Amino acid sequence: MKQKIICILVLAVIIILPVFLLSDFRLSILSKFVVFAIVAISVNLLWGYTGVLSLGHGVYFALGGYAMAMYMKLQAQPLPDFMEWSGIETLPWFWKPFQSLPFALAMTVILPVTLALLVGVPLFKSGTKGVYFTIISQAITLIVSILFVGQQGFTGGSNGITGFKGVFGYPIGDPTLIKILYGLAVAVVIAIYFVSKFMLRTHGGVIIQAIRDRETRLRFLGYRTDSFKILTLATSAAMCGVAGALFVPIVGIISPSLMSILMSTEFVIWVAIGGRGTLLGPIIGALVINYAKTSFSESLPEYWWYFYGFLFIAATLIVPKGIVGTLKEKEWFQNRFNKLKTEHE
Amino acid sequence: MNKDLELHLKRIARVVNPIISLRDVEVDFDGYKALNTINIDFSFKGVQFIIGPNGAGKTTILDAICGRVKTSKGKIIYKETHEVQNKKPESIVHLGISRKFQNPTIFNTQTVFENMKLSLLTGKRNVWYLFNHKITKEEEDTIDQTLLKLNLLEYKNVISGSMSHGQKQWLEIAMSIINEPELLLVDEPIAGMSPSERDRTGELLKEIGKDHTVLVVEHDMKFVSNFSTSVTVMHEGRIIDRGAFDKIVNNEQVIEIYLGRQN
Repeated sequence: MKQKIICILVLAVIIILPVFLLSDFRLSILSKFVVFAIVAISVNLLWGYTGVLSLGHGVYFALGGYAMAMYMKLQAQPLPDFMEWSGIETLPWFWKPFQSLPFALAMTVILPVTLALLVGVPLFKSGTKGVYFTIISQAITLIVSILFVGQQGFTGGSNGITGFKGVFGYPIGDPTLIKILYGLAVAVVIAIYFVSKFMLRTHGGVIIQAIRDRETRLRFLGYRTDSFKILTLATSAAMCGVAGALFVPIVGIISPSLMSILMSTEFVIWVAIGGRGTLLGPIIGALVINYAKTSFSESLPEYWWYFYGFLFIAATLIVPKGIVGTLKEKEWFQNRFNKLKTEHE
Repeated sequence: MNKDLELHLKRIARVVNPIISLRDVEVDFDGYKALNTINIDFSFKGVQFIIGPNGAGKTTILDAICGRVKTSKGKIIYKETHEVQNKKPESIVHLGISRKFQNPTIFNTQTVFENMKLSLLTGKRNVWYLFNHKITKEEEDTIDQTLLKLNLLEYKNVISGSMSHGQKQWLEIAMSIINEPELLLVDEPIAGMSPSERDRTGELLKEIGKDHTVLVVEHDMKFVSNFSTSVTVMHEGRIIDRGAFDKIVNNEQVIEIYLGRQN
């Protein structure tokens, strides 16, 4: 019990310290990493625990982001500038409700979940499995991103939506806003961590892991496994949407590049390196890789992608269980972990 | 095939009040007929063995009944009312047909208890119910009793992947019988078991066979002779003979195609 309190205190200090130590610019970047950690948790829920690999999660992230960006854009300009450039003179009907914050916030979850259902229901009901689902998930992301690029007047095209005034009454870049957003991102990542933890502890958690391990057996026990896969995909998409909504005020832009296949693949790499099928793995993976990426791109930008590819291959070959998965297997860590667990109980 | 034999087969194939009947069932694997116009009824209760050389179509019969392979022709009728051919396995299970696979097919990363819990709840209820369900005292008792039958109670909280091969087989049997299916399909249950484990498994199947129907595919002749109530012999996708063990071992055709090869 005592150890647990110490753990929580240390964690709290680690979370609070950056607020005082880092410059606003750096803190803002850290917030972005924390948002990516949320995405990694959502990808892990689907891939690490249910065994369904989606290489198109960027689309759910971006949909959440666009919903938020539409609200923030309308706060800055009654008629967004890119619409004027395309000769649109009145606000399109589907933009209008985004003037309200509650509507926009609801949409950050509803849009990705709707798409997830549109994708998941027909695919899983028809028994699409494994690599086939993965390829189709990529294709869908590609289609949506082409659609967004093509509809310049409605979506801002390949530039995306940017030029926001501010949010929550603070202008963009305001030091207080940056701190608020950091706090919000950390709160959401913690909340989502516990939501997944709770989900996995229920009988449903046992079922989805059973789907990952032996779906056939589960079907021969009478489970309609497709329903559970649809449910997990929708949950994962919702989490991704929330992350997207947080990303926009922090970074100040949403563009189709965030729903690209490259971005979606990066999500998966964070999870793989952090530790697939562990709760902490994706958070650590997203933070470590993005930190490495930022430092690397500042010093040797042109080599980053080579290094990234190498890292992924190396991780798959040397530590296939990822950072956390490998640590868990180490004996001293295991003992320590069990000790903590028994004390906790 | 001569006429007398055909008549004989027709006579022995029909049973009054069968639990499962196959009518002209054909399973086609890209031109290879794994089952060739199978006509047979299996009666209620008892441990009924299906034997035959490799490739005879023994496992395919079980697969066709539980929805694992598609039939290209014919009907499979459960309890004279439900047609189950080409239905989804998850709906066939709910009629009371349970399947144990040849290799231990269990959830290796979960504990024995969680494996049993997954089997007990069967996925019959809606998704929300299954997601949030907390196990009740009675349900836990059912699990404990079933585990006790298979000597697994002390392993209740062990990760199932770490158990021995025989124990995994037993766990899968426990998972298959926890909901007391009326028809239990078992594929080579004693493969990889020690002699004492074999006897225990046989006794258990016999006990289940008192109230339910057990269809077993098995190679081990000693096991078949000890625990069978009836034996069906298959060869190249057809049924050759059926009857008590003592009777079929004296059938010359059976000796030729199956028993003869062992000597």
